[in-house]
Amino acid sequence: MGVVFVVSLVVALALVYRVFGDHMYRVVSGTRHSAVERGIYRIVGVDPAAEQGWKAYATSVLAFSAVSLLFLYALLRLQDRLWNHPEMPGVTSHVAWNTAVSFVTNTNWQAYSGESTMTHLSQMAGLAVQNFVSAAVGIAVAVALVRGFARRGVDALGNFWVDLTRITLRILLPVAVVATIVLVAGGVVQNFSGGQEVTTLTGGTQTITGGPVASQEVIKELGTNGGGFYNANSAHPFENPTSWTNGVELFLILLIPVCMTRVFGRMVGQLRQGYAILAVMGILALASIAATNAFELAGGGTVPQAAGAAMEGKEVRFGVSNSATFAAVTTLTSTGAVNSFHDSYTALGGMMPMVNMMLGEVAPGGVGAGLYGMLVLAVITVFVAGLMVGRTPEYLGKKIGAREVKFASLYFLVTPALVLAGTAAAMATSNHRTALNTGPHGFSEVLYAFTSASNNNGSAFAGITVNTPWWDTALGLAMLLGRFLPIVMVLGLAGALARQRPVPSSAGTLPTDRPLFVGMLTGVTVVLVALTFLPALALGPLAEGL
Amino acid sequence: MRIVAVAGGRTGRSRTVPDVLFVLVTVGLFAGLALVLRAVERL
Repeated sequence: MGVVFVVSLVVALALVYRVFGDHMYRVVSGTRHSAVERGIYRIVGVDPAAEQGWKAYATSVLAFSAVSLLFLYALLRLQDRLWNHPEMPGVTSHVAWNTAVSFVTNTNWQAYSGESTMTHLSQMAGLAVQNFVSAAVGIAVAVALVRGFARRGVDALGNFWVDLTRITLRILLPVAVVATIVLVAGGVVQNFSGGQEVTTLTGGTQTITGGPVASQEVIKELGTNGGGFYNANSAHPFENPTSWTNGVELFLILLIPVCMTRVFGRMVGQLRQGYAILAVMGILALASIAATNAFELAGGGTVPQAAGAAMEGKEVRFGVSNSATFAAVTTLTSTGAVNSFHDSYTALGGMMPMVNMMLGEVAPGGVGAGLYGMLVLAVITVFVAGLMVGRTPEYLGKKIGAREVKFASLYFLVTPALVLAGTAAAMATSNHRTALNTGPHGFSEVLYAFTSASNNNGSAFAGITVNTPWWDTALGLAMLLGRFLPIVMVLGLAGALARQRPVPSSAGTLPTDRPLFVGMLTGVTVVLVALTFLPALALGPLAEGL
Repeated sequence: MRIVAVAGGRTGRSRTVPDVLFVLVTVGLFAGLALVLRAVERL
């Protein structure tokens, strides 16, 4: 059944790849503006015809994100003085800051329990809005990088405000509306209910919270955000009631990241280049899904063997395989939604989500972030290949010189530095003691937290209490720097590439649309991660599992 | 996603960590990022 599920997912994505990819290409490449869009530009004072250089584009990204963060922080702090339904106090300062950073950076790490912390207004006007626009920011940055490859001898990378508006209105919103209806039909709740008191079978009372769940669930997956309406996220029956809705949610998670390779191919005028990138993503993704399933189905360890299957932390309606596949997909992308609890996985099965994030979430990665992460790795790969044969490396006709390699290297170094320094800081202080476990598993809980935050994934291994001021602040810093430092480097790289005039390919040019390059890029991705994170993994899941 | 069930419960407004501190941290971080942007321009 697990294989059938994965094959169905691949077939569904293949069916929409061309149509949806071409639609996204037209959105980011078109020159016409709708009446609504022109109205928005007029209100915010933007000239849609004015293009921006990389510094202006990056400054716009940072300014928009800073304002969004401060607005969301204020909304969460003041939620008890606004439409306070269901009745909640204001969110504490450190949780509000952590949450604001988390949603603005597309991480959606949640140091709170949604149904007992957030009002419906905070969920809708705060968190869901950021689910849309933070996803749009990621796609915009990826599009700017591709323009850097596609353009010749210019400074301009497009207009951030135009990209942000178009991507939100023409890509994210329409799909979200249709998919919300699909999920409601599948049993996901959508109402403005507060808590309902019900009597349980044993005679006790239970409060069941409703809310606008389906509308938030859709953009949570479509924008690879991952922040659940409920504490239990996609394991909650109101968010993900059946195996069928589980499939729809996985499809939504993968839709944009996969189709972005089509956008890339169309924009650079060579569809095969997009297919090559897609092939690398596919190889890494399918290998990871297979490994996670194999480790979980093998049920290593005393307890799973005694119980007959590794079902701790998994929903019976999904079973082992659909849980393992969801865990792999949510970390191969930057989603972070979960339908099972990764802390309960077998040692090596639990390592796989960590490895997926450590890969840089490029297979296929977050919306936009996956593509620009993979393209940076492609730049590093052609640089390595150039060193091997003693030629100046080129990619898509652009020379990869010192400036380009510096941007790519800095991009790659940011996340490991945050993950390893953050983990070391927690382990060196008493803060790691909020983990429920000691030894290798306790170390894994800490390592996972910083890996997830720094890579803007947002999934939790669980098993660790993080709503303390130290954890909220430390992980907030990891999320913020892990999002925006790489974006600055990507846009710097885009600016350097756009300024170049392409060089004609020659007999010595490495073809980057052939299986050889696919193999090299896959190898470089894996080797870079192995060299960087293997010592840390050896202290955690490997020590536990071997 | 949310971290763990043991860290749940309603949250009240903290008076120990002033809002102004987090606003300053935010502004400082984005100002720092703007400086990074200027610095990498010279790469």
